[in-house]
Amino acid sequence: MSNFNRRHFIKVAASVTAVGIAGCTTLPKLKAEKRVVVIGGGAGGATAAKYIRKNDPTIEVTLIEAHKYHYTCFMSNEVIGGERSIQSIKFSYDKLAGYGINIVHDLAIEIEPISKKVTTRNGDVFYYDRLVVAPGIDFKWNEVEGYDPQIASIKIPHAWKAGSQTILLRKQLEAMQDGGTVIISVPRRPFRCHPGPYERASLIAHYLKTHKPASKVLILEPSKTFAQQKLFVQAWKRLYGFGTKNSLIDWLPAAEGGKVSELDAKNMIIHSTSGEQHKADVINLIPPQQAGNIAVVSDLVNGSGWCPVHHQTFESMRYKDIHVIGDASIAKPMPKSGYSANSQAKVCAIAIVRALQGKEMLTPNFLNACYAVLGKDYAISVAAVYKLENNKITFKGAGGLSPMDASEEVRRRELLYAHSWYNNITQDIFE
Amino acid sequence: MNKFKLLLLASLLFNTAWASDELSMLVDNCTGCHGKEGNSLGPAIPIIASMNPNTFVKAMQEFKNGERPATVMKYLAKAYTNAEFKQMADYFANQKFIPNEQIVELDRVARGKVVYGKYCQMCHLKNVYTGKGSTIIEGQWMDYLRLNLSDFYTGIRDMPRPIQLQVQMLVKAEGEDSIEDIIHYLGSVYNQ
Repeated sequence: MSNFNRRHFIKVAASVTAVGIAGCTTLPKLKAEKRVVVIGGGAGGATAAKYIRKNDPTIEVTLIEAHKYHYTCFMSNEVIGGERSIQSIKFSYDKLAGYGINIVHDLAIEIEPISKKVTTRNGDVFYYDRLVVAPGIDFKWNEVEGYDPQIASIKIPHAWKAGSQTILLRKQLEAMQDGGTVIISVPRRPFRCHPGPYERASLIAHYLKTHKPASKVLILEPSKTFAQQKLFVQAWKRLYGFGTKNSLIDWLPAAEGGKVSELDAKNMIIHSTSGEQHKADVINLIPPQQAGNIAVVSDLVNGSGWCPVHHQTFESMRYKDIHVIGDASIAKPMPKSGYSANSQAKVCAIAIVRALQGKEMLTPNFLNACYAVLGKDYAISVAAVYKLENNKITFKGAGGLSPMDASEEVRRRELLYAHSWYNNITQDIFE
Repeated sequence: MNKFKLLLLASLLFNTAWASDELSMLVDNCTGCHGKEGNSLGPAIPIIASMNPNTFVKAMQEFKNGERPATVMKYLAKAYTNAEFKQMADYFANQKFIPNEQIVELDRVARGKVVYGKYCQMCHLKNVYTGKGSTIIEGQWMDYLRLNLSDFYTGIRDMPRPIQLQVQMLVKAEGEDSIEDIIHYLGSVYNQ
């Protein structure tokens, strides 16, 4: 008991009682022998906490998450486009508590990999046998001059973490006069959800088409091409007049002034590296990204700003007994998506449970399935199973994109599947 | 009893109650989209809990071979062997089917119940599969049923011969709209 502090002990005792009341288990009343701490309650962390308890209820699991509620980034573009409510993407941790997970609403600020403990902003200390770090992303604020967290929170939303930022962007679109310009500035890769900015452009165009048809979306692209470009362009031609002079969407690659260097928030102007100025009524500036802050300050990242991990277990290559999953990890060729995080979390849960039971890890396989909603009765998907080969995650051909030139009926079905997918994946994460 | 023995006992107990890690590694990939233990929250992705294992394996093979129209399943099925299909099938066959309340038109439900009883029920027995390829469809998601019956009816998906004969008889005797009546009846079944 010496390595428990008092507050922590009380919380653990409370969680054990909760299990007893819920009647989930008839576990003999033991002091937990093995302890796992999970940092971050998003798609990766929440799934990992749940599946560790599911796979071995003798392991004590503590989930440290600063926020009381989680807003999913996936489907938040439907909120921005006015197609769904913010409430419908909001999840509490109540049902996870039913698995006997000790949920702590606090911010993890320090990891000590030698003494194996995590310290929070409130000063609580949590010791672990294994640690899961699932902090998602944070922003590299210094790469766009004139942009900072303060301006983002009141005037120029990034909306790349869902919640108040999503609401702010939606409100700005609602307040904009017809004839206005909405800029979406895409960050350099890699970033969370590569198709995301283009889904967002589509759903904003969908809103403008019916409510403010003289307006347009201008996408500023720091590269020459983008994810699933052909499928997006085909949808934009079908739905939003892309390529015509009345197009609701314009797309500027780096060579045409798409690479952003500076924000003039006061005058609502974006400067490109090649000297162009783009004026807008609403600016959605998505900054370049790296692993969530706790991973950076805990030295779990390499020079790229992301966390190298062993792909069989998602254990960090830098520190033993610490696993990093989700957007923060380097898991190429898996995309940085909520679904990838969920799949990695399940594999990581098995790896941790087996390690704590003294068993060898199995050969994992992973799955990703993502949908992008592009307009009325119109969605596209990407899906793949990934296997482990030579200790690296490998794509072996079991996967692919929605086909080009598909019928309206196929696109309509993908939208139906997208919404069913959302119902099920969020249940898998939070219930 | 010392702690070690207690822990061993606990782990033995739980190993019988939960799927093995090997099986979890396989079926956990399915449940992200198809719901907890295969009980999809719908409305277009189907419930696969309690699915007839033969039907399950056949469906996966058809997805893999490109014989059944699909969006993502035609890609995902390629990752697995027949032996893995069988393991998944056995796991989901043993999960309880949990239907949900759906919005239905009551007059259609009444008509659909009669027609379903006459043309479909003998194979699609409630809460039991026949072992010959039929599976539970009472309580299945209506959007899913609609998409699949439409594929059968328009010929996009090959209808198994027994279904084809029944559907031809059904449409001839009761009219095309009776298919929608059946869907409403099937969607109305949720209190099992």
